[in-house]
Amino acid sequence: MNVNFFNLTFLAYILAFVSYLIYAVFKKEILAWLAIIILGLGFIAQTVSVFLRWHLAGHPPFSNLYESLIFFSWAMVAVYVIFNFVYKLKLIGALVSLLALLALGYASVLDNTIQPLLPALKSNWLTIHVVTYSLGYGAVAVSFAASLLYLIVSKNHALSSSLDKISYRLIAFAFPFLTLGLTTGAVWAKVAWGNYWGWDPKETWSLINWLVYALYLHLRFIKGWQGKRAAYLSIIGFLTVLFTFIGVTLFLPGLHSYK
Amino acid sequence: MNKSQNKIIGFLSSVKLAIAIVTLLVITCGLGTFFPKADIYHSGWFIFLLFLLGLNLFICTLTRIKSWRLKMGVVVTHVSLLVILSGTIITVIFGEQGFMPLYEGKAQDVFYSGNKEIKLGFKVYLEDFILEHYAFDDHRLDIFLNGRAIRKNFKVEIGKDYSVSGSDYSFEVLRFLPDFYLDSHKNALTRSELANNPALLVHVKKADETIRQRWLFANFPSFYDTVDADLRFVYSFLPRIKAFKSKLKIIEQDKIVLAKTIEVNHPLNFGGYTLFQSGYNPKYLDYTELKIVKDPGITLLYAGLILLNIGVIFIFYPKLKKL
Repeated sequence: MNVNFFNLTFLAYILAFVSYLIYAVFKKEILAWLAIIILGLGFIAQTVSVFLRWHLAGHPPFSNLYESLIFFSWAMVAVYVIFNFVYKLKLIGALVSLLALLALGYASVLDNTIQPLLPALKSNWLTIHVVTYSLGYGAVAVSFAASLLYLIVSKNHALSSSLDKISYRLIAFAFPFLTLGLTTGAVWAKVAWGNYWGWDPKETWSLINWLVYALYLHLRFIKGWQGKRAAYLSIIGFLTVLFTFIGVTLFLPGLHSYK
Repeated sequence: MNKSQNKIIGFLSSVKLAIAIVTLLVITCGLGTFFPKADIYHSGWFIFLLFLLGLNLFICTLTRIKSWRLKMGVVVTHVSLLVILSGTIITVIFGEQGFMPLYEGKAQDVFYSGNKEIKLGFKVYLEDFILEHYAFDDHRLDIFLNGRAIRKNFKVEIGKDYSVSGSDYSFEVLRFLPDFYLDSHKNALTRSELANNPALLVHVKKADETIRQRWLFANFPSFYDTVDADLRFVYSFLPRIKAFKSKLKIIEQDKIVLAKTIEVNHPLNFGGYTLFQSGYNPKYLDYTELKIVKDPGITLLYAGLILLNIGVIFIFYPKLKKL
């Protein structure tokens, strides 16, 4: 049953992506509406699948790379849908649905059997740590989409300044989540194995994320970095997030490895 | 204060310096993850960078606090970082950390930190070490047909049937014995519940006709791995650990003052120390390893973290300040 919801979500996100693409070419408003509705339906299916897996597993579905990727994809769509109500930027939807698809696509080749929890993960901290980080990561993923789009469209394009602004707003929204994610990670580590910081690759790279976005915010507020420079920094930030999330698990395994 | 002193303070409190230091920190941290043996995080260079950042933060906060008065979030955030750094420094200078190996039925009042032996003011007694498995363990097969691996790390379960794609072979996984041995009558039995010699019995068929039953051994993967002329199974066993706990008693002046079972995520606090379940040896279940930590800077650190989160929320969600 779990797999059916996964397939439904996957299908919906593909259709949404195609719809957004056609909208980008032909600029017919109805296509954008169609896209967001299909995306929303896919999102509902994905929400159901997350809770269903939680119920079947008897523990929060955040215990391995498969489950984390699913939740990451869910979070970026969630953030996009929420921000779309306020900012109405439909073109970003094309990139967001593509990113969500890529995350799901990668998840689909991983082992999706429900496994019992490793002892270290048996804690209420698991939920709060993963949820805060997923929301933060989801928001910076949408910011990445906006920044990428900013660099793709021409400088005087009508959307340029909106894309720049929304990219910043998403990072501003994400930053407290990234801070809380880092904090809950440190406190949980203290409770679990006695040290709140061990410079393991996952911890170090999550600090790197936080510092890169802190740099972005200082450069924007105080040094007036906007437009192109901000877009590049936002993209670099997201690349460090990708490395923290997936790169470290695959290439630098250690205490934090939960494949 | 003269002009050049002003210039120095100006430089030390500048955002430009902060940006430069943080950029260098980011690069250094990143490199450190690719070259762990260089131990960059304890190197003089890294500590110097952190010191410089702390100095920059301190002077920056002092000189700007008046103009920040109205930006509560900015003040709180920057002060919180200083509080966190202070907590860390206190931990580094005054903290203690080490390991205590403990055997069942024995009490100990010292732990080992590097070369040092540190004496606790109390004894730690291990009443029992407990290792729990999940009922379903993880059995995996690598399946080779005509010398080629056609399935790797294929999960199998006891009592289930499987077919080998690209052939007319099929097999059923019949039995599992965690500590396999043959008795004098050649009966396959298990010595214990510990996975010292995991063995899996498979019943192999070709075109629905029984070929043979064969035991596969995780510890001896090339022993009897050929189930038929062109079919080979390599078996690996992954135990599913549910929990590992130490049942402890704290003894002070020959009296038991505290009894607690500890495991990961549930340590024991006593006498200014925290005792964590660290390692164990699956072959010797009467032994445990505890990690002992004294962290005098932790309160400051937690305070700093709380302030940091409040600070960033005030900056980026200013409407929440009204709560």
